[in-house]
Amino acid sequence: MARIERFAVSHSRKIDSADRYVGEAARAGVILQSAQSGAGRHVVIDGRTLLNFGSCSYMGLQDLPELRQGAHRAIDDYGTQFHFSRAYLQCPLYAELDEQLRIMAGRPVVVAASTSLAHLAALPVLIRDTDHMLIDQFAHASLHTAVQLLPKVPLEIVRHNQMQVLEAKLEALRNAPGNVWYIADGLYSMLGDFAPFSRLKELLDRFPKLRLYLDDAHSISWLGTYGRGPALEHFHDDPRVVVAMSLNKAFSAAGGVLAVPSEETADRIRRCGGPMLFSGPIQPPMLGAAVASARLHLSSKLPDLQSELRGRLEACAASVRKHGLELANEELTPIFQVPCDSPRIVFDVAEELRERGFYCCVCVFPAVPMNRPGLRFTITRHNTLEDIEAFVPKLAECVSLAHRKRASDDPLAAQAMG
Amino acid sequence: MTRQLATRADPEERDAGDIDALMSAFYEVISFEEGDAPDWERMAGLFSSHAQITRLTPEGIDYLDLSSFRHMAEELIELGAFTSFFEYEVARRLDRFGGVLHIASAYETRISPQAVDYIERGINSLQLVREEGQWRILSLCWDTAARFDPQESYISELGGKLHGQN
Repeated sequence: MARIERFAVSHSRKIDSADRYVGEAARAGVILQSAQSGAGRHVVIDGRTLLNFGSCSYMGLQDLPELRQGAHRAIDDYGTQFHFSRAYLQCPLYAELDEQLRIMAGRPVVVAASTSLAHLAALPVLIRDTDHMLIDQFAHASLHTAVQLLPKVPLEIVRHNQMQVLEAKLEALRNAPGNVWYIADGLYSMLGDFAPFSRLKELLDRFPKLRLYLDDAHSISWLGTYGRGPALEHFHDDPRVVVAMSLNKAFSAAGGVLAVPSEETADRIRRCGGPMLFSGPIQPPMLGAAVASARLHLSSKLPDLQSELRGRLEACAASVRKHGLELANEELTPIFQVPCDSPRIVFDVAEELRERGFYCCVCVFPAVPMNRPGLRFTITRHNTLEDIEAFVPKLAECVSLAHRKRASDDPLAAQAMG
Repeated sequence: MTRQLATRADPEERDAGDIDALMSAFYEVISFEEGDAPDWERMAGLFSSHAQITRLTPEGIDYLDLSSFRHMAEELIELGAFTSFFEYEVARRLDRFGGVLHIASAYETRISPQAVDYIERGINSLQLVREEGQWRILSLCWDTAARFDPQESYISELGGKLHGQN
């Protein structure tokens, strides 16, 4: 093998390593599984009916009659597929969806087939050759993929939510010829923490060339006016900010949305954003569900549903405190992460919880850093207060049990603990 | 045995001289807390300027020098593979062949000094030579997939004792 003069982790090595680590988790039976049924309060895995603490449908809208009827009606009207490229013709439901999402976002929108495809369409159109890109190290994988479409634009990675590091980089680029894009998530899906919106607002005030591209997929529906999420609550009237939203997850349909500052920008992305022209559209059933969900978001029902979820989040946070569980952060979001000492312990906790009738998700490398393994659980409107009261003490018990078991099984650990 | 992230004292005072101090410094400089980074400057003082660093993984072999090792580590930190790092020595065997010292240093990587389980266990194979009156690392080589099992007496096979014990 030739000597590597200047090491750079090659693409193939990254894929090979990811395959090994993901394979380990799959062999442990904690990821890449198929459910036998269930998507709400319960999920059935390996013949076991489990209370579901792993869903991203935070608002639990997918079972509401209006969304189901929206999908059924769309099939009746247009069939299962609208068989044109959007470059030529789009399903009439798009126009209605655009109109409602524009009200929801408070600015022009572009609807894409998924949030990932929205990034792939938007970033190459928005970012110019003379610009710079700064991306949070924990930004969603789809954002890290999308920036690779701009190999000539300088790219730097910023440690997670380190605003003083971002500020120093912005200062260093103050006299750079183009704009400086900071690319990040609004709510991080593994650790459950928000981007520091207030600090970002301060930086926008201080650095005229700063532009923000925020993926707020996990905050949509459950937070903000019409469920537009915290990024748009902070920045909807700022022409230097682009926000990506998801029509999956809490919105309970399918697709991605770009909330952009002007119609001109929206048109440019529609005309030049690759996947907008050559990728398939959202098909009628899910467009119908999306239109119905958008109507619900603009209705007087939404604040009550948001409040219902918030009550569950507060109950969960209180129970977590009562049972002395440590969390990765204290933000009140539907995503909770309980740090564990190793991936083996995470897998043990997940299995012990299944034995007790609960399903939640593991967070191990490469989804999180090697030194941040943990158990991720989510709270949705499907979880009753009684479910939460039953779940949290069992979780605390399993976390404690799995750590003690590893310590007692290992002579070095046992020695270290005295 | 206690596990602690050692405080970084004056390099000359800590790194000068004997093997214990060198090995202790070796594990100190590669470990770092959240938001920090390895102590590259001090690490360079522990290695010969001719040093080779070789990492075996199931996916391939990395043949590195100090500069490319730093580049690799910085890339992994930047990409978020690690946001902190804690590695410490569990046991050690020394063999001396004239001016060459070989050390088999059993290590564990944990998420923190308090963690009850390890992330990785392995053997660092080091060759040391004496340069300008000081032992310096000429070669560091390890296989990330070669875990030792303390229950199968690997520690005693190394001929060492748990570090920090008499």
